[in-house]
Amino acid sequence: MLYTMKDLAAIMPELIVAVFAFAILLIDLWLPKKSKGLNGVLALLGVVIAFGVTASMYSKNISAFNGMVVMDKASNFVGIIMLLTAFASIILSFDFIKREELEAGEYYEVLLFSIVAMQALASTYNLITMFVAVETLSIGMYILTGFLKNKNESVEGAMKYYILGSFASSFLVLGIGLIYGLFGSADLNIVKAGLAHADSLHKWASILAFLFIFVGFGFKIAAFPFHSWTPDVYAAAPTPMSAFMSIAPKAAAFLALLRFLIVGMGPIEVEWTKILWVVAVFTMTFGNTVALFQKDLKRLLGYSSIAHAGYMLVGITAANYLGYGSVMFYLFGYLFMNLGAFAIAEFISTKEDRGTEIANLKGMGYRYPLMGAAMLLFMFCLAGVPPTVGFVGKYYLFSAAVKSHLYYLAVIGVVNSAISAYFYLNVIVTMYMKGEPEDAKPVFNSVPLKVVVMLGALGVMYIGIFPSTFLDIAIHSIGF
Amino acid sequence: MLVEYMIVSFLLFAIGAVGVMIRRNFLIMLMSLELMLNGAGMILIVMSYYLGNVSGQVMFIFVAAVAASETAVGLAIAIMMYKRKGSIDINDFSVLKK
Repeated sequence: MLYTMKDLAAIMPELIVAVFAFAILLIDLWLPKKSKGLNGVLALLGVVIAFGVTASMYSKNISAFNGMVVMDKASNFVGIIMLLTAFASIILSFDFIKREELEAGEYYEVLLFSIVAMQALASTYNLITMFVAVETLSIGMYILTGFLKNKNESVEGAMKYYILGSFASSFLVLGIGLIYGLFGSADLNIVKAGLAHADSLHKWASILAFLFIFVGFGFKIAAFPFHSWTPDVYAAAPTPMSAFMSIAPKAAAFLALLRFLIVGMGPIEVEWTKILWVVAVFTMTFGNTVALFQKDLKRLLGYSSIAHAGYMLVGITAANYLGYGSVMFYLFGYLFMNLGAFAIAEFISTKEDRGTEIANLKGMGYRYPLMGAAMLLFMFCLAGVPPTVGFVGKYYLFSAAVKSHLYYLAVIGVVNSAISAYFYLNVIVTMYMKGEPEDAKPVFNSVPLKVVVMLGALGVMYIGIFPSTFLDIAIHSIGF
Repeated sequence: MLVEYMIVSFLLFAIGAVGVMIRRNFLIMLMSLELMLNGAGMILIVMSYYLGNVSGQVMFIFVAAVAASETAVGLAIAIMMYKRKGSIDINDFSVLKK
């Protein structure tokens, strides 16, 4: 069995990121203490090169390594989302690492390896590759959550994430075992062929297997019964990593879930749409309701990310290509709004008490007019107010639901958006209308952070006003 | 034959799951997690034998390798916990509010 250049081409972006991860691992040994910042530059370089390669290979459609790895528009689209997120989080990390005096080498190396795992997760039709990728990326995320090892919060967050994450991935193995037992393969195309003319016993067993596998993916995307880690982990992790975790693994897991549902579970679409209907409703409603009572900005963003996962599940429940494409588009827009909001959370935290309480935002709109305006934009965008990308994304998600005659689901989604406006607007009210600015001055007031916030604001506005190009790319990215 | 092996696998999985839920010592929880993964992995091997198809056993090797690296990180977390509080009882770690 020979591997050719075609096989290597299909994993080119992964290879580049992996090479840079190994390079950091080695070079870090020889770097003197004061020039550890070079690791960050290397990581950034790797991400930029991988981004260039992914973008240049965008419309390729390669199946490699005997069908274990594929490269198609969807994997490249999600790859672009992940690499953009990684780019911004590495930029945010520069000052964070200096401020917290962390080990830069390990930090970037673990980050890059989890990016490789996410790229692999996004580009496979094989369940066992998906499992290995999910686990590899989770291991990286556990380490990064516990990276502030002198803080009780961070240790606790890593511990909770670890236990719940391993619990969920055991269910993933159980589901894969059942699928393999039923159809003799973990390849989704073979599963589909087997399921297409299966008897009712095989059908019911596949639904059971689907439920087990959904536990694994639902954990990664923070769907309702498996969401409880989200706010704790986002609050505990280093803020640049919270930003990264809220977008990149979710994007990869959503694409893997789409592949699993459309290709593998295609013949039992009627059954899984019913299950996802319930999950989507509970995810949206739970995330938005609990977010009403949050006092901490990072926890608020954690619950809001649960709610947004619910909106995206609406697009999957619709089970039409408009819905799948809207999920991709929403992920792309979510990248800009969430990165910006987390960057602002970093902005308000001071070195002494690292407070990201919403109360610390008091008077921010006057002291830092530009940052305040950007935060206003991000909150409007998360709430789904036009002319931002949040509105366009939600509009297409809910119209996909209407197109599939899921009127109740669309109505529940819209009602949820209205509920969510309350707590997003509360942040804005705190910024502009809660009295005089306090004395506490953020020490973390760096140029890279401002760049990230401005790019986020620009993205949110630009895609919100001229969505058609991006929407077209996103909707045509799902071609399976 | 198949049914008995499946029952054993599910039983192992269930014992692990109950262990994670009721035990409060982090090390015991790690062991229970391992039991869950191996219970699920056993299905792969049983099915591989039953179907006369070797790929299930290869999959189990992947699962076992991943489980080992996962446990390594779990033990590192246990050490961090012990260094912070001198205890690995998870009830001692509850600063993050609900």
